[in-house]
Amino acid sequence: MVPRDVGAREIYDICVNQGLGVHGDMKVYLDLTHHSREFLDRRLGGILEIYEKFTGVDPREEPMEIFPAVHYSMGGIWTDYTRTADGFIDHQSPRNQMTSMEGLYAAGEADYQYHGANRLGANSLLSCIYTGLMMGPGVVNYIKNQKESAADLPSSLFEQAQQQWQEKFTGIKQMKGKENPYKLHAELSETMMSNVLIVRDNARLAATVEKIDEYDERWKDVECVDTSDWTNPVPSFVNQLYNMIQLSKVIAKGALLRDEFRGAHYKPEFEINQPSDFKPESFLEYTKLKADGGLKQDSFKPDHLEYMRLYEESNEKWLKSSIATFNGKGPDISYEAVDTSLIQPRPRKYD
Amino acid sequence: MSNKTITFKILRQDGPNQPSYWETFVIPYLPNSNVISCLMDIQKNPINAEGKKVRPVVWECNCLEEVCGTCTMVINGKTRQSCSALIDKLMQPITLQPLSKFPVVRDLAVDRSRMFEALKRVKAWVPMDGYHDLGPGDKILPDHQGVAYKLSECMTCGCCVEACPQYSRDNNFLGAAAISQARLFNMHPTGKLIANERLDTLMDDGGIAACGNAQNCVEVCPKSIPLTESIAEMGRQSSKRFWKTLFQI
Repeated sequence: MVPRDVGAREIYDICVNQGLGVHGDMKVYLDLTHHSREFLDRRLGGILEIYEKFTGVDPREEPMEIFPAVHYSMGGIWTDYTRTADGFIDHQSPRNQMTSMEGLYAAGEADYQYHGANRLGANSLLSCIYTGLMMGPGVVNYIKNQKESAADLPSSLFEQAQQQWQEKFTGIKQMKGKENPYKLHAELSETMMSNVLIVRDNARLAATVEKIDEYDERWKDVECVDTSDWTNPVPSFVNQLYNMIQLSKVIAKGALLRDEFRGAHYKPEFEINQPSDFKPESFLEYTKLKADGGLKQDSFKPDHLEYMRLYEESNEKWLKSSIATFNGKGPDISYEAVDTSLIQPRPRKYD
Repeated sequence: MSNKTITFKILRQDGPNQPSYWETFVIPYLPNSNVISCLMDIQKNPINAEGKKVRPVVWECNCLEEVCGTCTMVINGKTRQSCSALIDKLMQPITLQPLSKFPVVRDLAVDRSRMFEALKRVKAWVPMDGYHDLGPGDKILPDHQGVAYKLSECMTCGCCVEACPQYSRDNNFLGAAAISQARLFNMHPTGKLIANERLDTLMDDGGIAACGNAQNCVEVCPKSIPLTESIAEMGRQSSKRFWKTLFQI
């Protein structure tokens, strides 16, 4: 088994670079037929039934035709936590999972915490258990520490907020431009899919950033294609489309500025080739020797030494979360170092 | 570009208690389409067969892989999910209607709160209190897991109750989905702590006795959940509880 980014990259290479996809299309075979029907039904029943239903082919008898798709966003809303003296997390702290807005919390798949550069299988379960445990007591403590409740605040505060949103949606309903919001959305997703997905290239990313700015302009010329007042999904969609455009800017700009890659999004320009006989544990030895002043030219094989030097350099510069802050027009990107105080990072290796 | 088209006849309704009306849409054929991808195409170009610009059709969907149940509607007279309704396998014109057993919210979107209320009535959950460490849970054997897994695939989509002749807008029948969920949670090592409370609900008005054994539910269930077995099993558990209560044993 390899992580999904390695698998995705291999499939991309076969279909795009080598042009060897099944029937010349963007797909490869995933073969499970060497397992018994009973085993497959017991372990993967639900998902195989879905495949069978949508394609009309029995995956227990014939290899499946697959291609990677977007499944999850590894980024998310910035959230905080409080450390204890020994470097662990203070489970009672009201800061745990609090966003940059005081009193607003984000948990589970909405926040940015767990995936770093790669999202491992079943991590959505991890995120909901972890943040639930971390945030629950914190929120209770936050409420206990409040001197006043929402009911004590002047009602004008809420009325203002209500009015602000009502005006926003009234404005959206009055949009009578030429662009169909659903068509514009399809264009945005097509642009993101072809340029910011499995393989990323700086020149194309730069062009994508400009393209998204065009979508931002075109959004102003959207027509709200349904202006009725009852269960009307269109104004919400138009509003969300604006947010999607802003989020696309965050993703594309963050990707462009990162002159390296780790995990999911492959940037061939910045590949550091790992020697095939390299063992990830050597890196721990390397840093220890370096800290003790005992690192010599012949401590490691020359290509290993060079690889570890590049890996270390890349970590110093890029082992950081990109943070986007909205400046009123688009995102400003800054960086926050990843907390590695408990586990020292080391290169990954899959044979 | 081929000249092939897809024709839809959609039963629309502007809001609750509004009159419904049929509207026809003809859209270009694309290979591998399903009903949802076609409804999305209509959103992108909301013009009906008479060439009149109309409001896009309202429907609900979420997962697009037949695990959430939200997009259930009546397609060519049969209740099913619109995401897995492949155009190539449907007779044209394709008729789309909202589920008939629930109040229409708008167009193809219906209010399925009654199903959620039914889950609450049968307490379809594992009772837990607090987040402190309770230690390891009871072991679950593979045979047991096999049965429970199938039951757990229920997505409260509403197909079973849509096809059920006993489930109507003017009664309070729980329906097959909720009865089957009561079975699932009565099987669970911790869930069974309140098994009797579930059985009391099933023995009450709108419970298991309202089932007429038409067996339509199991016929239409998109997840092939053995709903009639669930109803039979809950009937057995209810009978057992009845006699035990009667003789106070």
